[in-house]
Amino acid sequence: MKLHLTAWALAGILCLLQACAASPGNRTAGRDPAKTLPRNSLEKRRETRKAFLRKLKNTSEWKNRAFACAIVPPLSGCRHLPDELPPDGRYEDKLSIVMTPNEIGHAAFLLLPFRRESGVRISVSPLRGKSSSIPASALDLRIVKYWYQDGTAWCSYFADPLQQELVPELLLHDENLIRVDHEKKHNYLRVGDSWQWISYPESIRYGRFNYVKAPVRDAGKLAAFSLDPEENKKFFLTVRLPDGTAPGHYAGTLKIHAAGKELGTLQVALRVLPFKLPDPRTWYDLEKKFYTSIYMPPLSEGLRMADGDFKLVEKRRKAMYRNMRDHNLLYPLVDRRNRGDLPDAEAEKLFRNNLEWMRDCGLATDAVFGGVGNCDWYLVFRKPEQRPAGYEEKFFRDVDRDLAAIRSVMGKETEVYSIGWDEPGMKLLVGQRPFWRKIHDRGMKILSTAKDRHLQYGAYNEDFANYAGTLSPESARIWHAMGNRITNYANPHTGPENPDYIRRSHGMALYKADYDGSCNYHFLENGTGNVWRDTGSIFRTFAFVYPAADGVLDTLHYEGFRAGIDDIRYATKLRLLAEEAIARKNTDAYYAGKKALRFLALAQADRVNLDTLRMEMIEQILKLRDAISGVSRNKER
Amino acid sequence: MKHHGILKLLFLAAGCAGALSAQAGKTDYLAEIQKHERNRNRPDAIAECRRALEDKTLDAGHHYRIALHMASNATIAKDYELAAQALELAAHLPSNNRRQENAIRLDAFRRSSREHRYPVSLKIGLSLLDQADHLTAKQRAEFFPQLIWTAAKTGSHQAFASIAKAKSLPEENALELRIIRELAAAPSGNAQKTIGALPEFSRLSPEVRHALLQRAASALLLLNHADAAEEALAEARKLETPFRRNSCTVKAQEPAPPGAGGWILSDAWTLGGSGNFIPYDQAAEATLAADATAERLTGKKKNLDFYLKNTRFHLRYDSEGVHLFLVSGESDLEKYRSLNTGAGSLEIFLSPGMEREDYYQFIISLPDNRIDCYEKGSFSRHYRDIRKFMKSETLCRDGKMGTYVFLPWIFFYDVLPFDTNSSWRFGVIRWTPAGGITWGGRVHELGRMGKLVWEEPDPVLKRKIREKIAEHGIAKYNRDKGRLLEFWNDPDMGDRDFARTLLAPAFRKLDEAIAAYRSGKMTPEAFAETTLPDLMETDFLAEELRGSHLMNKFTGNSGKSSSEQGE
Repeated sequence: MKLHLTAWALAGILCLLQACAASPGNRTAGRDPAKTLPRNSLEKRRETRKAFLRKLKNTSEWKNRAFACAIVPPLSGCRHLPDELPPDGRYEDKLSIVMTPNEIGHAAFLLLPFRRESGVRISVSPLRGKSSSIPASALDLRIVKYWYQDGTAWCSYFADPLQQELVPELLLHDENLIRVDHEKKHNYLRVGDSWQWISYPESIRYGRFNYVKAPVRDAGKLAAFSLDPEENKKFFLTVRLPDGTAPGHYAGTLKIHAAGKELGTLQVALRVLPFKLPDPRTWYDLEKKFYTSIYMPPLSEGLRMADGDFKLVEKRRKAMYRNMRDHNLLYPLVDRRNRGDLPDAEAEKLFRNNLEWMRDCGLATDAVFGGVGNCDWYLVFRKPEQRPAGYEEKFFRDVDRDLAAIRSVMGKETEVYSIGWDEPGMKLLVGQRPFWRKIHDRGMKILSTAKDRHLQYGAYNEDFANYAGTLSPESARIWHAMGNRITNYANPHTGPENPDYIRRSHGMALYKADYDGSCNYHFLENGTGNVWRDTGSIFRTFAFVYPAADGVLDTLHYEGFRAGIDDIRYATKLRLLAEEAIARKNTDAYYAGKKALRFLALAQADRVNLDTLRMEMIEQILKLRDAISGVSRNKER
Repeated sequence: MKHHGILKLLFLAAGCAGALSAQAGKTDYLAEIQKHERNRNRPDAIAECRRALEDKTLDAGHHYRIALHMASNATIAKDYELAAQALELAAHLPSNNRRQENAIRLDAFRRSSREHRYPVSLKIGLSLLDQADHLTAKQRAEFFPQLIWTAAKTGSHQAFASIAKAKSLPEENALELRIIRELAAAPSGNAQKTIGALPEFSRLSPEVRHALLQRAASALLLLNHADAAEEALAEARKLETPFRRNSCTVKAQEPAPPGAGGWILSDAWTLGGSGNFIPYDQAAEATLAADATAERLTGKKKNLDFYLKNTRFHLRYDSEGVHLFLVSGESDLEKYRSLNTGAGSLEIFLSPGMEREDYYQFIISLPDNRIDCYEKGSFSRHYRDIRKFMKSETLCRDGKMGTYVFLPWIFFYDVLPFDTNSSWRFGVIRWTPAGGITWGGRVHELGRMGKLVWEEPDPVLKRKIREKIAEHGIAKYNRDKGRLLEFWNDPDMGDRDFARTLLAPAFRKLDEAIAAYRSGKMTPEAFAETTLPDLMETDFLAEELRGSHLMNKFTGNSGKSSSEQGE
């Protein structure tokens, strides 16, 4: 009996031990998960991150801090997902920025927390140079918000509602403006004091979200945030130098703290270069401007959403235009006077005011794209006897009035481009001919969305062709041979969140393909009714920015656009100096100029590392300056 | 007496003349209005209506007709406030038949809502409530759900109350209102129970129940009951046919047939393959005209069955890479062969993962095999130019086109399926002369695309794949290294400091790793993880180092990447 009991007890103990070994808390006993998982699986990447953080925590560099820091290229083509290590991260505590005085600089870093913290803040110090300093207010720190967008997010503007991808997009001072549910893969937008579900499916009919009046507000500067050891947190630093900032080296700090205790400090090193950037010019002709334009939300739609409140429309538009100027978007398409929807006096006021806002906010005034009609449905599709009496004459009297208004606000010499019918078939292209002629008779020009087929039936009367899709240097060559210009859209449309892709496709790729600029669709389109909800019927939201009550919220890809145009400005500076050096008739300067041009000519715009390209352009520019000033010094001697 | 008679005649004549003149005036107004309408000249039509309505000589009947013209023209001109005013005027004028009025009211209601003019849309809609019983059943079926939605959109509980009281409110919409009310009031998580307690709901067909729940969810969301909306949607989803993703197992075949000719000579030409194509959603196809970046052949759906039955594909992999072979039957093949165009195209989407991965898109024209690639990102270490790696050919025989596409493993070296343990997304759409047919969803809809499930290679094949990739990487690196060192060490063109301090040391580390791999001290897996990416992307490596070097030069900095920190 005793033996039986002992045996049963032993068996019971054995079973118990086995059960403990199999319990969830001990499932992996005796197995290193990082070793047995497939090498590049998602689980392995997550485990690798955790293991790496455990290691870093004990290194001399990071052990006294609450986090490790990875400096990353601010406009990287890598998504830097919160639960993985950044493939292009450098683990250090120093942010480095190189910029010119008339450029907006940027940097980015990830905090990889070792422990949970809440109420975390970052104090930005002034940047001190040898004999001057840059105030802390010149530095703007924002959190890169990750949220769920359609399945093609990061890559494309096509809708894909059956899948949701986590991507970095919004640049926010207050990370709580958007709440994300990772389990459901849903986003919630804070409107006033409550959060609205904005990831509802296509089958929900929401109608229009009135983003003009909705109280969606970000904080004015970086608000308190939380740190979670399961997630990296990405930050984007923007630097706007005050006028007159002297070239040189500057240094400062970002102190990260919570509840009175310091969690860690990062260094900021800024080099202000000793030259300024010109406006961008084209690659094929240094005398020609590179235009940056974009389709805009209609003013009348804004006025309607504002319930006719002009002041509100003015406030929002001005904020938008200042923001666009800061982002190198200098020639947004201009609305025509809205005679259909508004009473005449209101339409007149809105039209004129809009031009004044553009001018006063520092947008370019030497050319206006849009603003003046050239034909409408009646004129193209109805014979004169079918139209109201005097219709055409009245139409062109209005054209003259609008042209006069533009010239009186923007300048007598302002070049005005009237915009033709969007994506016209051949019948429409031909049908517009007599009306485009009237535009040319009045000393204006025509901008039209176009393609190679237009060369058969048009082109002679299309001064600016806006081509869709893949870039074609051969098409550019043909348009240029006529003295015309060519811009690009839908390559891609706005929407894909990859800042490197947007930087390249609106910048160096477009530039090296001999295009005259960018005229993409769209700056902020409320097409599906709710700009905050990504999915439309076939397209995602077209937007560089998101609307807030007092303006707009920037995105990572919008910063990519700005950087892309700055790349062209650097290239323009390089070429101007190279020409100057070559003209000096001194062999050193001559060679310096040629080498610089050679370098730029060989740069493969579709694949070169754009940050390295920028650094290399700076190197070449500094060498050219030295070469030119060396010649000057020799001459003085 | 005679004078009286003459006077009477004169009065009579004057009266007739007056009547005739008034009649002529009425006719003039209407004729003028209709003339403007024929010319789609709404402003002038409206102006003429105003003049007519101000003319007190016209009777109520005429004013009624003109008010309707005013309302109709104002609606088309998107002046919905004016339309509402005109309709209100009409409502107060007598008429024996308000059918046209109701039609205009319904149209104004519909259009104003579409134009996001919700308050005036609600006003117009509510004004139709009393007349709703005169609407046809079809019109009521459209009207009431739209009115309920508009009430929710404007947050008007008064409107809800008015709708609930309407005598012509269909039972289904009364139930809709009830569902909205009860789900809004119910505690979270109780949707199934709340809806289950409505016996009239369960008596409805699944389609009607689904539509009701969708509409209720929309209204609840608009009324700021997001949780209730989500629950209603979840209930609706239970009634849906679950989306079934197409799936294809990619088997190993060492070696796979090389080229289109090899496949044509194999059994694959006549047997097997994945063939469950379906017609491309016609609605989605029609909207593709909005995609200005690619031209696709779209037909009128005649003979689509033939294409559905005669389109299939095979996918295999071997130690070289991934082989795709598509068989496209074509009844007019000789015609298209002689033109070398016109047989449509194959649009292919591929992503080496089910999430978090970029994707590739290319279109192969038939029968000429012209390939258009549409990149979806910047070329980088992680996203490559597929044109430089892909091989393709199309051959025609036996009334079919055989299209072969080969992608080598070196294109996917960092996302090999047995390393990521992930299926891939794959879609192929055949644009035929009769319209589109699809195996993996719609254009760009990665979420609807098919799934490629990879048969695990046996250890010998796996090793062979790794070795081939490794040898390719080493050969490529050695070529690139030579070129880069030569350039950067050039006294005139290069930067010897950069070459010495950064480039050469990086290459030395890679050389050591190669030596370790060759001597067996490093496993192929470890080699693939730590060294191969830099061998395959030596140019990018050099650019990254160069960028760091220049940044240090301009600012003074030294930091370590994760590999340098002992990852």
